[in-house]
Amino acid sequence: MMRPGHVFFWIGILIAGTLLNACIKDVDYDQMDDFVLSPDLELSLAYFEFLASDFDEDTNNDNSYIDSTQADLFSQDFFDQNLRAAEFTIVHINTVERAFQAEFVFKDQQGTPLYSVEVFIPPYDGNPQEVVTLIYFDESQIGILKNTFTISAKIELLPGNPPLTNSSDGAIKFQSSAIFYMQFE
Amino acid sequence: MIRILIYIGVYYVFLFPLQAQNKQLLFNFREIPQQVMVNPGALIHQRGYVGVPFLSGVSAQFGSSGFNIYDLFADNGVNFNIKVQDVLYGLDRNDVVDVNEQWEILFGGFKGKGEANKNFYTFGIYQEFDLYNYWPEDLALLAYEGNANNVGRSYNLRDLNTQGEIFTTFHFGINRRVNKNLTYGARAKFYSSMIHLSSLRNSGTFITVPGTENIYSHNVIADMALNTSGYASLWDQDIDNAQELLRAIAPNSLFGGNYGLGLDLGFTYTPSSYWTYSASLTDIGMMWHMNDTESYTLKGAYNLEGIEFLFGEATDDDFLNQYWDDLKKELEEQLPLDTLSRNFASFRPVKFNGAVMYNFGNLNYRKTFECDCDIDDTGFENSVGLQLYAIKRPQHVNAALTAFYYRRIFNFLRGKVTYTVNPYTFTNIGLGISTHFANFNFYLLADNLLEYSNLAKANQAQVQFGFNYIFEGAR
Repeated sequence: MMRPGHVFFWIGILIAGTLLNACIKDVDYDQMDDFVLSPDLELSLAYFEFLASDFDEDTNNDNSYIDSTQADLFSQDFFDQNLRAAEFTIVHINTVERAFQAEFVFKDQQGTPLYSVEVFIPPYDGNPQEVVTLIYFDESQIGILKNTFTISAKIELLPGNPPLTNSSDGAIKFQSSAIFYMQFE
Repeated sequence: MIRILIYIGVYYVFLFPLQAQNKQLLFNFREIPQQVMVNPGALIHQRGYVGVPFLSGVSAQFGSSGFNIYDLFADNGVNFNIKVQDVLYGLDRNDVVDVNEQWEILFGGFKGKGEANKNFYTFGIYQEFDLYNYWPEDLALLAYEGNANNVGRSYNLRDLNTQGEIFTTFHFGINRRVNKNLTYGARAKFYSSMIHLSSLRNSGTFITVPGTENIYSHNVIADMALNTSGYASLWDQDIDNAQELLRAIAPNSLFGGNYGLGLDLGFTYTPSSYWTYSASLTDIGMMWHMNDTESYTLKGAYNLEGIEFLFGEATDDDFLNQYWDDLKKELEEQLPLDTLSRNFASFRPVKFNGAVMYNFGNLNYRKTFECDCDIDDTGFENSVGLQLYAIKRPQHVNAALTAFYYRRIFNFLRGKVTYTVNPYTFTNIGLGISTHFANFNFYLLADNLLEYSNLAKANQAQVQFGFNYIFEGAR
């Protein structure tokens, strides 16, 4: 129960507020409902590096590596409710004299692939081979990201010459980042 | 909860578009009993007075250096988001929003016993809402734009600088007229905090730069804290609007457990009947928060280049790793966001008022006819002077300079006109009147009058009014 003093206090404030409000003209506070905050967040994502010797064909039967991570951040409220679009930047830098194929698969909670992208990385030819891949999820595709539960990455050495040994030079580097286009209403 | 507090802040900002805390119209306005609240050493001519409970002193003030309501909410067909953008890019970290409201519950004063007694005592209770907020430039731009097109830009976390509180003050003051030239006074204040939130003295940076392992490297160094009292317990209550919030904090108005002490000092020196010098320091005080306290701290350093895929080295059978969870854990360890209950102290903003006043015109004003005047009628008909006001805020001392003209218009009507220059405006003209009917004093003081045709366009304004009963006789 409010004490009488406080009733007076707030009634007085209302009176004073109303008096002053009478002098406020040509304004429309309902516009506040139109407010949209739309920052673009840039975030570094995954990266890895393999040396040419990691693909030593003398000892390795399998010429590929695969790894995956749980990545349910997009289904969490912050992204689920406010992520409007996203752009991923994937950069491969190859200084190995052999070509590679990279594959990224976005899967849902049941392990069903939702989206995949394959990247061909040509062999080193005296200059580092830099391959930049952009993946854009627009508003119609953003649901794919929001349903993603795991992301897997695979890097595979493609057949060719020269053969790689444990003393081969060079490395295959992978870097990635994303811009998340947010919209808070 | 934060939404409710923002709502209250907005409520005050938009309903009370009034500059905070400079009471240039009240200072030295000797017919108004409340003038002693701005200078405990003011010249008091009355024998005694008592305020009409809850209506003796109401003041509301607002100042915003960077924008006004019209800039944001003008009903002019321009998209609201465009207006927000224009306001946002026009503000910087030195812009402030400053809101203050005071409400007297009880106020009175009386001369000490005996005709020769040199003392006059005042007492009272008032409630106050005070919000002071620097525009958090870098944080706001980061939230508004994001970091995507701002690689290499360092965001300063120090820009978060805010204090808001509601509290009750109990006060008792002594005003001593040493001789006809000198009066001084002091007032003791006891504060009881109802709710307090402050985030001051933060430090740190956030920057995104090109990385070494990955495309970008994100770097945070932070030492930030938000201290609250009277706030955490509100989480357990179902509070949906401002009224419910006020009802919830009302029990703290008397003995909420978070207390403070303050002191006001002042004097008036009149070397001759022509010249008056006066000055005061008010709200030299602090509060200790020990009850229902909760502080949120963010302290540490973190560098993120992303998640390194380890492939064969740490994978399980399904090649599934918890890199994302690991990252979150690492972040929480290195840059922990902690909630703790700890005691803290907060300071009241100290205010300075000083004036030099020259009196002229008819001496012994209107003593030429018989007058049962209950109000003081000695001295000159007119006064002019200059006043300086300053208030200590976390980053700066804010000051305002006022030129004024005071006039005894009729026995029952006294007026004061002010022109004030401060960081918010150069066109601030104020008018104050004090009336006297049947032993009742009513006063109304308002500044920034040029803006009253549409207060939405005002960057600052204030209004004060009140009713008092004046006892017969002079001090």
